[in-house]
Parts: sequence; C-alpha cells; structure tokens
Amino acid sequence: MKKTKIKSTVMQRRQAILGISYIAPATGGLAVFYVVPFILSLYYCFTKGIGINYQFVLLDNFADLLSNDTFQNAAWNSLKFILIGVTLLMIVSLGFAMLLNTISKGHTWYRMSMLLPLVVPVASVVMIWQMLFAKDGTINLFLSLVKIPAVNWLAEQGAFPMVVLIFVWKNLGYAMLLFLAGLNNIPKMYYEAAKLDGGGSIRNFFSITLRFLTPTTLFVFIISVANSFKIFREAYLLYSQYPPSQIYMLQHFMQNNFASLNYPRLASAAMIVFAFVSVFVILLLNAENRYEYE
Amino acid sequence: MLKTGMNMNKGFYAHFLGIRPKRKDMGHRMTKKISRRKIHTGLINVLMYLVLTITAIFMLLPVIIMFTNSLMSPEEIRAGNTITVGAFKMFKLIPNMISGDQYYSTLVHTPQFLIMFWNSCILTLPTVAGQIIISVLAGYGFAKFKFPFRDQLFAVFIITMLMPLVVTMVPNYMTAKFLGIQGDYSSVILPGVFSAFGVFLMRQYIKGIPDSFSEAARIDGAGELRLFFRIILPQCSNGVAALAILSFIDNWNMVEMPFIMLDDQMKQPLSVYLSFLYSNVNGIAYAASLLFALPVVLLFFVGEDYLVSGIEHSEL
Repeated sequence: MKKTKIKSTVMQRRQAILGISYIAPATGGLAVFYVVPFILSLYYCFTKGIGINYQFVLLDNFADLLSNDTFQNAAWNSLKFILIGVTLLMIVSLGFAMLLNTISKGHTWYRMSMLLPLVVPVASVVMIWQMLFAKDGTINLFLSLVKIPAVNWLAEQGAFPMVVLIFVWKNLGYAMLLFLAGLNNIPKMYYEAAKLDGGGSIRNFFSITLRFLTPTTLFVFIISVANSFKIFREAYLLYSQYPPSQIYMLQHFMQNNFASLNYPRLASAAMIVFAFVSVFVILLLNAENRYEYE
Repeated sequence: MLKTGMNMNKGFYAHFLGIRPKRKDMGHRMTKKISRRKIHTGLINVLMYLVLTITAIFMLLPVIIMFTNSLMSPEEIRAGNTITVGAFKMFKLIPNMISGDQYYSTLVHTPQFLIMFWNSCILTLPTVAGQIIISVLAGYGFAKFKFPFRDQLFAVFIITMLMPLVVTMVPNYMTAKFLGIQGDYSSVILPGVFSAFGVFLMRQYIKGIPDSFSEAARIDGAGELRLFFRIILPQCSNGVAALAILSFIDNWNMVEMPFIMLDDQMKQPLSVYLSFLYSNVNGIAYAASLLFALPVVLLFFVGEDYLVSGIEHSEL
C-alpha cells in the first residue's frame, strides 16, 4: 500500500535527522565492537608471519587458502550443512505448524514441549546426548526395535546426520512458532473463497498457504541460517577440536587457526566468508523487496 | 496488507489508547482457529496425535533424564545409571533412592558454583537490559523513519548478525585492550548489548505497528518524545518480551566470549564451568546442569505467552 506523501523538504530533513539519532547508539556500538574489529582484521589478511616478521603479501594468503584442502573441506561441509539442515528444518517445522493448527486439544502443551530444547542450555544436555547416541545407547535401542541396524552416531558416518539432527531438534520449536504465527495471519476468507470455487486441499496449500507464507519463510530462513552457525558450539562440545572430517566446518577451521595463532589464515578465511554472506544477504533483501508489495 | 487481526475484536481506538490484547486473550487467533479446526476421522486423528506425542517426548527426553539423574546419589551414578536391554544401555529413569545429595554437594560443597552463577547473572542481566534499550530505539528508527542509506545500513546489521563469532575475536580482544576494559566484565557485556539480533527483531516488530497511530498523534500535536513513550513503546511490550527471553537464553549460554575476554578464572560464568564438567566423574554434573538451566526454563514458562504473542504480532 503505497502512500503518497506530500512533505516539504524541511520535514523530510527533520525526519532524517530524527531517524539517524534513533539509530545512532546502536550503529555506534556496532561500529566499535563489530565493524572496526573486522576492518582491523583486514590487516592480518594481507600479511604473513608471526611476531615481528610481518611481511606484506598481497593476495598470497587468499590463493593459499583457496587451494588448501582443509579449507575446501570445511567450506564444503558448512555449505552442505546449511543447505541440508535449514531445508530440513523448514520443511519439518512447517509440517508441525500445520499439524499443530489442526489438532483440537493439547495445543499449548505440545508447543511448550517443542520450545524447550531451545531453552535448555547446551552444556547441560551434551553429556546426555553423548550417552544417548553412543554405539550402545538408547537411540540405537529404539532403532533396533524397528529393525534398523545400529549406527555409531559419534563416529564417521553418523556424525553428519547427528549434527543435522541436533540442529533440527534445537530449532524446531522456534521455527514452528514462527510458521504458526505466519499461518494464523493468513486471512481465512481466501480459504472460504477457494472452498466455494471447489479447490482441493493440495491446491489450497500451494496457491494460498505457501504464497502468503513467503515473508515468514524468509524470516525463518534468515534466523535458521544464523542459528546454523551456532551449531559450532554443540559440535565442539561433542567432538572437541578435531572432529571427523564429515563435520569439520568453517568455524572449526577458524577456531583451530585461532588456537594455533595463525591469524593471517583466520582473517583471510573470515574475509571469504564475509564476501559470501554479504552477497547472500543482498540477494535475500532484494527478494524481500520484490515480495513486499504482494 | 491490512492486518485484520489486531483490530478485529477490540475496536480501532482501543489499540490506539494503549489497550492491547492481554496475555491469554489472543482475540483474533481464537476466531480464526476455531473455524479452521476440523474434527478429523479417527485414524488420522490418532496418527497426528501419535506423531506429536512421540516428537514431544523426544524433545523432552534429555531434560527428563537430566532431572531424574540429578536426584540420584553420586554412588548410584558411579554404580551405573544405565539399564542394559540386550546389547544396549538405557538411562535409568527412576532412581533407586531419591537423594538430594547432588544438590547439597553443588550448592554447599562447591563454592565456585555459586560464584560462577553470580558471574553469569552479572554478565547476562545488564546485557539483556542494554540490548532492549538500544534495539527498541534502533528498531524504531529503522522501521519508521526514512533517511539516506537506511536499507544499506540495515543490510550491514544483518550481515553482522550472520558472521560467526570467531571472525572478530582477536580484534575484539585488541579493541577491549585499547579501550582499557579488557578483563573486565564490560568487555563481554558491551559487545552483547550492541548485537544486531535485537535490532533485527525489533525492526521487524515495529514495522508491524500501523503508521496511522503515529500519524494521528502527530496531527494532534504530539511531540516526538511523547509519541515514542506514550504510543510506540506500550505497543512494543510483546516484542520486547520476546527479545528479552531470546536474548537471555542466548547470553546465559555463551561460552566463547567470556572464555577469551576474561582471563580471571573466578570471573567465568557458569556456562563455561559446566562445559568442563564430565558426566560421571564429578558427582555434581547433573544437578549443576539442572540448576544452571533453571533460571532460563523458569523465565521461559513465565514468558512463553508473551513470546508467542510477540512473534505473532510482528510483521512476518
């Protein structure tokens, strides 16, 4: 709904000044604690060596990094995790949101129990996870009941599914909540109109539900991607510094470089990540703008 | 898109005057929901409930185990807190003897527990409070005012939010040293206060408040300050509650930042301490974990309704 504003330049300027003063504290803080440190780390990008023999090497660091096997593995794992994990999370949480919307009783209890994993601190549950997912642990017990062979979740092949599972487990409640809100905001008159016109439920889903969920989906997507970076904490607590190669992600790479004081590599990796994230965010915001006047 | 929900059951001016839906009275939701809930046929109903219940149990399982294990005495844990079923071990869900031993050991015999609990409070509460103030101001600015480079600046905020923490850890340490606060609690509190997540959340929320309110107030001659405090702020309460809860959860659990910024062992928060406890070695692990989770869970139970309303009424 575009409003035609008849404002003089004075009012526009006043609005601009007010707006800027409202965002000033946040922007100032962000600059001091996030942007400036990031720019400072640029310095490390272009140098090599430890201690007093810093030398300026222009793009060597980046070339080194991009051809580094470990880095490629880490980057690929991170990307794989985001693609699979976030997609799975969104599908499952949308399904649960629709499920929760159609049952008649116990709505609040289910919702509360779904939100609990987000609330419980990671440090508290990690050791329980370890015991649940060990080779002779409870999860394998249930699997054997359904005749699926036991998986060693803490070792090579099981590691990636396990990390995805933990990610979905933790974030299901919140994503489901967001989708529930989005679902409830769809005016029901569209469904009634469709019923009058004889639309089936599948057609309903795609043409009405999904279409009106687009802004919600974008929001969930951004939040889920942000949360997928936080999975590092769980992975670190479960597998410590050098996890199986399937789940060795970018943060592991950067953390290890940090621990071994290899700041130039750390900073160059950070720059590459930054470039990708910026492109991604810009694309996302453009998409959001296109859908805003739906 | 016109928000039919908010104004439906209370009249247009009610919202303007600051009468907002109370916690349990989510008026518009009730009307929409009842008409959409069908009583499904028996089998589908059972199936749905089954799926939901199994999932709910799976979600709650670690918490339940933690709770029951915390009631076992350390001897029992060492003797084995698992039942063997065939080739698999499963946690004992019912302790042989309920004992408050673990809690007693944690609270009385382990002084660093309480010290670090207090550290966690010192680190988390100011961060949440500061973040709320900063984020509401900035969210309002981004949502309701036009100024050059507004959207680009907001994109910078989002990018910052998505960057993993490791990226800026070293420069953050240097900045803290430069500002002379390295080693102090504020070196952890300040970066948390200015985190971009709060700004993102509040901006989305305030965008959902119709412009007509502020326009009407301006026409009636309200100044900017009065507009902010009397009109916008009361309507934000749900969003602020949502932000408070999420921010509290996030900051109560943080591990890397304090670990790096605070050299003094005795200044570390509980989250760091817990990540070094191993399950059956220490006699207090489970009780400590539960006590650590307690404030967050309590806050969650108290604030869940606000959290849900806050999310529901933001512009999604």
